[in-house]
Amino acid sequence: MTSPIEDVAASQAHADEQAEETRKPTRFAGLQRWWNGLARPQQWLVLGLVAVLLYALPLLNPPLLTTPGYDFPIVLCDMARFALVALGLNVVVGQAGLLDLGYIGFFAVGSYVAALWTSTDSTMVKIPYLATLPLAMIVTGFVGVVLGLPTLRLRGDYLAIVTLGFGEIIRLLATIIPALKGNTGFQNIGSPPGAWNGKPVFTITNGTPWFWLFLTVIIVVTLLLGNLERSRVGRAWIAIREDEDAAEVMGVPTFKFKLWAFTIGAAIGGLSGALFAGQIGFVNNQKFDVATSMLFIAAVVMGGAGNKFGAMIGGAIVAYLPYRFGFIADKKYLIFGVVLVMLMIFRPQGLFGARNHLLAYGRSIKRQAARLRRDARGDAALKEGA
Amino acid sequence: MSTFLQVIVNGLGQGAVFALLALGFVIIYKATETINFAHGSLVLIGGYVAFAVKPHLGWLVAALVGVLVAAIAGLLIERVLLAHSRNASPDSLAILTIGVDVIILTEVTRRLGTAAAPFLGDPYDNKAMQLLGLTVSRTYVVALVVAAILIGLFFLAFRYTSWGLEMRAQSENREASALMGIRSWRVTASAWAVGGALAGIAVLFLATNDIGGGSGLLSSHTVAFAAFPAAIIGGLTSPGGSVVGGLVVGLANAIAAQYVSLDFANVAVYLVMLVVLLARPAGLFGKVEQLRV
Amino acid sequence: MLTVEQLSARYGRSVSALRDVSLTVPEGSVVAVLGSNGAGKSTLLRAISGTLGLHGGSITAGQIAWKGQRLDRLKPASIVRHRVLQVPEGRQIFGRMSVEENLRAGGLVAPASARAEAMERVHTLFPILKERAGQPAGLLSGGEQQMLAIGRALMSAPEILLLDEPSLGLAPQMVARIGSIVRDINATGTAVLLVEQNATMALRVADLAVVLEVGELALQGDAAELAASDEVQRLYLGGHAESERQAEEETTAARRGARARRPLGVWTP
Repeated sequence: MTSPIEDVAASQAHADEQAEETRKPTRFAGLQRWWNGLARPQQWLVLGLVAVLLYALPLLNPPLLTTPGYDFPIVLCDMARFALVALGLNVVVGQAGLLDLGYIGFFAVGSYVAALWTSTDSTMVKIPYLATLPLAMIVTGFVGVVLGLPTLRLRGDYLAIVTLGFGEIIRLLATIIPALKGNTGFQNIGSPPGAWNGKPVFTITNGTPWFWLFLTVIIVVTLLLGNLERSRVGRAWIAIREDEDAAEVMGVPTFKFKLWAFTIGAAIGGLSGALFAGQIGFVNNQKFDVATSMLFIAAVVMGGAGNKFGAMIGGAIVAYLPYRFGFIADKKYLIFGVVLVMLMIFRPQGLFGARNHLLAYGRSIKRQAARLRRDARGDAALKEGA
Repeated sequence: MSTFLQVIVNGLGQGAVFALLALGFVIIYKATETINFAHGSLVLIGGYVAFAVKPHLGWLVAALVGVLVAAIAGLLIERVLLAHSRNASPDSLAILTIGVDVIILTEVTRRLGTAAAPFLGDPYDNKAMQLLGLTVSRTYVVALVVAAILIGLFFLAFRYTSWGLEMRAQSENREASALMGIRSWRVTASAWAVGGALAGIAVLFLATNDIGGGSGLLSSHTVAFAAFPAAIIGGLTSPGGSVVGGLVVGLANAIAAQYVSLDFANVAVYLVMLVVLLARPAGLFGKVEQLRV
Repeated sequence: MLTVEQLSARYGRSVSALRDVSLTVPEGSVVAVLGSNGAGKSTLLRAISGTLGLHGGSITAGQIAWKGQRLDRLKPASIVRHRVLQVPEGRQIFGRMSVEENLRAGGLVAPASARAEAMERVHTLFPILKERAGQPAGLLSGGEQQMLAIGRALMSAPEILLLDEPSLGLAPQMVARIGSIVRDINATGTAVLLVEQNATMALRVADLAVVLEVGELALQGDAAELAASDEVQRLYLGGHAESERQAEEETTAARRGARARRPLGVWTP
């Protein structure tokens, strides 16, 4: 009598073999196989090394990577900001399959939260800068719920246009509402405390501490999201993305989980907005146009919607290229347009594609399958030998 | 009172232009099941070519050339790009059109440069006229009349010609229409060409002082944005609804601009859209659900 | 003559639906295709009409020819122009268009001069469609919708009609009516390839019949002979209870075998 898991493994092995012939080898297949072959502690070790390397980047200023003409740590901050945005947008677009074209709106709300409660230009009560980070998440999360409640019941095509409208509305509100100070904006936005040799650590001219802060936030958010994806919520998101009707029929409360994705995505957008406001120290209504929203989408799609590491790399690349190759800076939208078109035609799943951990035992099934295949091959070899 | 009537005429004139855009957008959506985010670019490319041709061949020929180019641009987007990604999801195709939009927008803006703002409404722009005792801009009246004629012609064709029959059959059931011998690529391609042509006509009114404002063609891409909420208000799948949606957006825009502020006008359009969606999640005339069973 | 030679087809990457199926439909004859759910009957018709691709399937081997003309590489719209017409499963009429518009849509490929005559013929065959001409087709009853679906296909004067389960979901009286309609259509010289689960009706109207089982041709021959054979009696015409249960077990076992081949973890976003 075989156990269910061996049963599944057997049919998976069979399907794999049948699919093998038609499957095209991807560029990153080797890397992926190597990664999947590592044991859990080894994977952690590799990740730890990568993290240390990333933290060291602004100090190393590696020759090939560095950006002539631009301050490298500041560029790194921008890359980290886009990576964080892509990470948040990936929850909405990649995980739950909701095409959100107004993500810049949440980013803007987060920026204004930080500005209103810390800037010397604001008449509001002042609070410490670090306290505005959770506050920004709460406020944008709330905005996400308010926007999501009426719109998430709509089919995807309507949602794309409604969110596009939302991004526009936020930008226009920043112009119309007097308290948001339109084009004049807010200066002297707060920063985290701390001093080194009598000088403050976090200043708008020094990118390194800000980059470390960004990186730490990204790591924390990634870990939290990773846990979420492996939970019931993550499975529900994948079900919704693959087939919303089927998910609903199977008893997944799709509306609730879509709202979750939308809210979590919004909160991360707000968080990155607040960090951005602190880092550059100035917020006005010119920074949140639709084109930037499209860049965000480009970042997620480029990395591979549904794959958070892919999305982050996509975000970092989108931010990095214009700095590294100065001559493309004024053509950056044109180039990203071309890249988007090419990607959608030739590789709609993005550079890295989506990985779905549908089953909690996914790894052990894979191992079982590999063993069965080996056994089968061994049997065949034995027969041939005999 | 006369101010109010003037605002209504302006709103309807603007709305008629939005209706042309939204109608093309909805036709494309019905035929391809893709949101065409490049619709504003069709407007822009038609307008740009018309503007470039105008000094040499005169307004009328330039207008015709612009409309033709916009139609061909629509056709090319479908034939060259979309037709080759048949297996992509609707979202991927929508993102693809975003890419196209970004490309055309940046390229045309770069070509137009920072020279004097280009305008396309020579025969009617900046000319007041008397209508039933009201003084109104001629652009709004001409736009209203032209749009009414075109929309009327479209619906006659949609209802009575073989082309209309093929369009409706295919949007309702792709497999059954293929089994009727309807060539799906021709239906889809013609939808994009018609959508492009309508956008090319719309730009003749958008790139004016009266509707587009001081920067003429440069701002027409932004102004054409209003076609999206217009299509949503009418219901993405309903050509008739898109006309109503266009008029609603035009009126909301004109009324808010007159009685609140110019900046608020754009917000008002989206607010109207949200209110409509709250009451009717599929728009005024949209089907509640398209489900395969 | 329609010839299908060693046709294999599958859905997606690996779900095999037809293996090595060969059959012929002589001109002017009625051929019935029998088989249980999942036997590949609809797949066979879709392969002939070219609509397999719309369902995520493809032909992997073999060929299909009508009057010497290869069909298996053509698009559905071109196949229709060779006057090979399919009435799809579940009728698939255009519910929001009127009955008359449905018929007009059916006649789009016919030369304009022939359309009035074709309409006349359809109206004689199905008087109800003339009565209901202005009504939205979605409001017709199931039987009427089936008539409309058949009438719509007849509008382009087919030389061979592929009917996919025309009796599905209809009352017994209506089923008999469909049977006689098939004969009427055949009497005008149109060949019919009739896919049916209702074997009693199908074998009564057909000249020849084939039986598909899990994608393979199990039996073929003269319809009357097949109707008399033990195996067909047992499997499709309601033999005694014990053998029926056995048959059921056989088919579910076979189906389970087919399902095991479906890829489990291959996601295509």
